[in-house]
Amino acid sequence: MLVENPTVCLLGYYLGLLGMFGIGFEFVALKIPDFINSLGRKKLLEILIAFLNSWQLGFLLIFVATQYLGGVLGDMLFFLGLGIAIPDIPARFRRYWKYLIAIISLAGVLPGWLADFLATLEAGKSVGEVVKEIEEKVKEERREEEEIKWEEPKYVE
Amino acid sequence: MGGTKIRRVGGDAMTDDMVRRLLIISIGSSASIHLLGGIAQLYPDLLFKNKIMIIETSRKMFNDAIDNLARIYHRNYAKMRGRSEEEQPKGFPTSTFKAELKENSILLAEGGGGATPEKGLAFYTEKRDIVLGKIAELITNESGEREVSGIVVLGCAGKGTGTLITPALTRDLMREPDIPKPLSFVTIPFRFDKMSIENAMKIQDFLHEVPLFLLDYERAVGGYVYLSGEVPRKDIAITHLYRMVVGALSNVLSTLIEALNYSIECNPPLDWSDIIPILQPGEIGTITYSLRYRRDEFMSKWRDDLTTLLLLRTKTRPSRTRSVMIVRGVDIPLGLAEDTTSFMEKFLGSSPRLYILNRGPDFRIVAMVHGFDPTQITPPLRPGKGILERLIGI
Repeated sequence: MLVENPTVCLLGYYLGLLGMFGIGFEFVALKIPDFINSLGRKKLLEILIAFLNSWQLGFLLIFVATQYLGGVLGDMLFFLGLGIAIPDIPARFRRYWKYLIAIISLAGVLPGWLADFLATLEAGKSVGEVVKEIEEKVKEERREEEEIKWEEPKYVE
Repeated sequence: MGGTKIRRVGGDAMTDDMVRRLLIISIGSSASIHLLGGIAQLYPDLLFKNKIMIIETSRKMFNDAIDNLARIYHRNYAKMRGRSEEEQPKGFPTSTFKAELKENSILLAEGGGGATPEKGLAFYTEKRDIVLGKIAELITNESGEREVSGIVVLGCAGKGTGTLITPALTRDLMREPDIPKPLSFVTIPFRFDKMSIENAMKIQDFLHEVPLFLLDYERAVGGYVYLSGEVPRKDIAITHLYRMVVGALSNVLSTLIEALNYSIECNPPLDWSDIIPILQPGEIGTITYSLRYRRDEFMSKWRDDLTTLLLLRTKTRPSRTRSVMIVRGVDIPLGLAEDTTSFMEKFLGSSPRLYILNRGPDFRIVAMVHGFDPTQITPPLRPGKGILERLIGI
């Protein structure tokens, strides 16, 4: 399944973080104070509709799908998130492209200590441990090192 | 292993001129009725795309085998036309198939081999020239060109007809310069079946000169149990046991024959001359396979399947074998080709010629491996306890 692919999991993790950043930046810091000021039902509905259409919700669903779900359900939620996020991104990109470029650049040259810190957020593992785990999983799948014994097969488990 | 069931394989439409036609020769009643019948039920195209020849020594069995294949043909023709078996009018084209099958087949004697292989062999020796002449005639079309790409021989060791006629015919076909070299598959009976295994022991004289593929009933049942999770009970009906064997062997051989029929669709295209060099006189071969219905299950299990489902084993690992491996499934990843090659090198000391067939709803590997020592077969070819007793726990 797609969401069980280690690369997709890692991508989902970072997209989730980006989504949370967006929620904080746009909703918690800007829209919710605005709503509290007016306390109008119409304003609340506007915020909810904006959230339902937002790339932040899309990325959050991708995060949940890759980190907490697997199988068909995970894949379905992943694509639901992608479907919500994609239509919203071009409009946002026109407005926030500087920030996005800055974040992507930062991710590309992520200092070791920051990468380690981010990795500790994921089930308490360092980047080194995560990479080792992925390598072992790939090795297990390919089983290249394994010696094949010539013995009576076990037909019954 | 629970949950994996043996089931029918669907075939895609393909024009007849793209299909490699084979001559399939089945020798004796077990091979013609049960084995070939079982394969045809799983892969009905076998009857539509190939020439079939039955060699028998009993008129009753000869007629039964022809009727059985004609019934399967009729059922599948009706299915192709979107009708039920009853709705499909009797007669053409089943009658034409039946007449052609009868014309292509040879009845060597009337009363059967009497469960005595030497008697069956004597009938064949007496009519050898007629049999070889008929085969030479069948592989060419009316204009004298070769119409058949290859020959597959099926025989079951244990009774009077298949046991010794199969290796003798294989030997004679190997010597004929104008006939394609055959791939001959012979089944080995259960070790508890004293009479059959004692008859099958007589095949050993041929194993040192004729390159056969042996498929052991004991291993076939083991394979069935491994894939289906259905462990035979102590009071299992003997007919059910044979159904298990036929089910397992039919699955393997139907995949193989399908790949040979559609060999031009393989990547790279599979030619008969690619297979024949793996045969070496003095050595024997067998088949190993994997069969899974889900891609992820196939990707994680194919190694275990190929080591477990080897249909003949020897006491020690052969030092060097030769093999042809066919991987059938849709969108087989590139990495699998590399992994299977490396696996076969470690498992059987073999660098397989690998062919990918992009077909089918499921995922299969069938590897023909040749290069085993005929003196080392295990369980040995003699009456005694086999794998079945261990599986049942007696």
